[in-house]
Amino acid sequence: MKHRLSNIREILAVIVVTGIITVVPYIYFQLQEGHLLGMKPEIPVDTVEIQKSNAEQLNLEQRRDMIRTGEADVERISLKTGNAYSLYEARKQCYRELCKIPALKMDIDGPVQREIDISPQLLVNAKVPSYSMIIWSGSLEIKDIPYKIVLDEDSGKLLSIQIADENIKEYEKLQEVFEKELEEYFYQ
Amino acid sequence: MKLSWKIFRNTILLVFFALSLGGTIMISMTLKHSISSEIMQEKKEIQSMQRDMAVLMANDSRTLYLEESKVLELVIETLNENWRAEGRQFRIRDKEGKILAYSGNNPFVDMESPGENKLKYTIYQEQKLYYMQMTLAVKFTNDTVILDKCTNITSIFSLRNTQLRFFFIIMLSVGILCAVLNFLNMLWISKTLYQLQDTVVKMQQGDLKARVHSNSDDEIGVLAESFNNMADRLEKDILELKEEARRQEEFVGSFAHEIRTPLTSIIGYADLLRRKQLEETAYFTATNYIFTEGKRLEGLSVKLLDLLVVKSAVRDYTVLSIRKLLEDSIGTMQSLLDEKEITVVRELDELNVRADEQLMKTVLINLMDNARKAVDIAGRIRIEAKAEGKKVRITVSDNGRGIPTEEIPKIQEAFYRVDKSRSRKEGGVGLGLAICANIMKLHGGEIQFESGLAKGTKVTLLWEGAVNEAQAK
Repeated sequence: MKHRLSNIREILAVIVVTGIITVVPYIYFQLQEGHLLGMKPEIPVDTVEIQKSNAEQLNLEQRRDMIRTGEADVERISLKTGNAYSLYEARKQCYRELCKIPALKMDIDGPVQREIDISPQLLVNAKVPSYSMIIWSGSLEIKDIPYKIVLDEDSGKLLSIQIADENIKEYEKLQEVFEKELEEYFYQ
Repeated sequence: MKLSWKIFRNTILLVFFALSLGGTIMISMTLKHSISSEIMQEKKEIQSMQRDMAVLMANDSRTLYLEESKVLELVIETLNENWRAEGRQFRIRDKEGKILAYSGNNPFVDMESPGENKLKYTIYQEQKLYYMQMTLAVKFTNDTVILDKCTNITSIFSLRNTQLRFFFIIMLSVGILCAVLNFLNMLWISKTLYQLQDTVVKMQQGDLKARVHSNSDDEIGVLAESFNNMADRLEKDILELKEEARRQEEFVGSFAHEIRTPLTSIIGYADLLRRKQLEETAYFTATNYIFTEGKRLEGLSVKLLDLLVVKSAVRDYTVLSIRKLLEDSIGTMQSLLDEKEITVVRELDELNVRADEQLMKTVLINLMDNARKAVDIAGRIRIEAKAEGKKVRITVSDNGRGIPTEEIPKIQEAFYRVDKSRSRKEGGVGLGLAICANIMKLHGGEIQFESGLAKGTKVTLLWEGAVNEAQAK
């Protein structure tokens, strides 16, 4: 009888200790959560100060590279309007510049100005925030071929023309011609 | 409580404790790491938002002709649309707490503006969902706005809860599995221990032959072997004690018998003398019996005294010539030997021995006397003495009637006589060989018997008593 009581006591003690060992982690995590939820710490941060100066202005070459490479560090912010152009002016400028690329045959097949679907964007280099520019980017269709275009607001020059649909007939050949003519146009 | 149960109990507790501690540390570290990663990610995000604001302000040409606050409002309006499109959860306030832009959805908490070049963050719970909010002050030339960025981090805490559930199930399963395996292992290991326990109980109940059968060479196996050795030794000692007790009992019985026999004769003849007037011949016979039996009693007491003296004798070892020792002993016995015309053949090496002269003489005289009693008229006794390394070997052999082989182990017991009537007739009391055996034991030696019926008897004395010449000088 004495032994049985002692055994029951032992078993109960084991169950109690096991229970404590099992419950302690839950209690610990509750305490940890309480601590996490209550705190409002401050951490140091580098503040960004943008001072626009001529020295930090991107040249045309750099602007084109920024568009072409499509760097991961480049952020795009959609704007309501540009600094230099309104949407009407931007379309007009865009039309004018597209006409300078002979292969597009804008004067024969090109759309009317309002069919040029473009919007302004601010491009910011995340690593060097001072390196930023406003572009007009969008699309248009010439003789059933969709194009993506980018216009630089500062210079009013086209920075990029690309055929949007890679599946069209003679895509590579056409793209090559555009590249060549764009290169000539760029250094005019 | 059984040992195996104790092991089971301790294992389960130990495994639970170890798993609980390890699991808690691991889950806690995972949570901290996830939160740290989230803080870093959010810090980058809010810095990116701050940068967007700053760049947009710097690039906006309206700053040339509009107030900064007006331009800021327009910039915020632009960013509000951009950030909403990107799915960011944010809130922009001015210093007074007026909300300038709000993404909606996530709840925000009000936090004070952090210090310069610092951001503040907090983690909070809203309707069972966890959020992290970061607050950063964005300064312009004249204005300062407070940017709040909020992220739902419920997944981190959900992961923690899932890990906890898994951890609990694993802890329970592994703990029980380990404990059961260890319990079985313990049963196997402690098999010898249980055998040992059973054996102890059997021995406690008087089974001195019970032993543990173990092939194990671990500590428990060694313990079992030691226990078996101890049991062997104990059994031997107990048997010896029993044998000693039996001998003591027999000794007392024999002693009583040896005393009663002559006393009966003495009392009987004395009573006869007291009650009757006997004739001269009968009178002589009666008094002769009384005298003879009295002498026997005296002899018995002398021998008993010898036995007691020998047991507690103070040894006086000296270096003796073996030849002289034997010749002196033969000389003492010579008249008795002559009575039976016994021839003594000597074959003695010239050697010196270390022994107690008187005690060793007693041994030799006893042996020669026994030989004398054993041989018939014109019998022969052969005495040899030689050294075997450090040992001395003296052999006394006769061509007498011999001793039955089965009697040999008992002949050194006190009062034991092979042929009781004949021995008594010869005047023996059965103590001679017991005395000899004790003397040899005192010399660290032994006494050996070789005999058989009608084959004569050969008694050998053997002890480490040989002395070389240098030692003798």
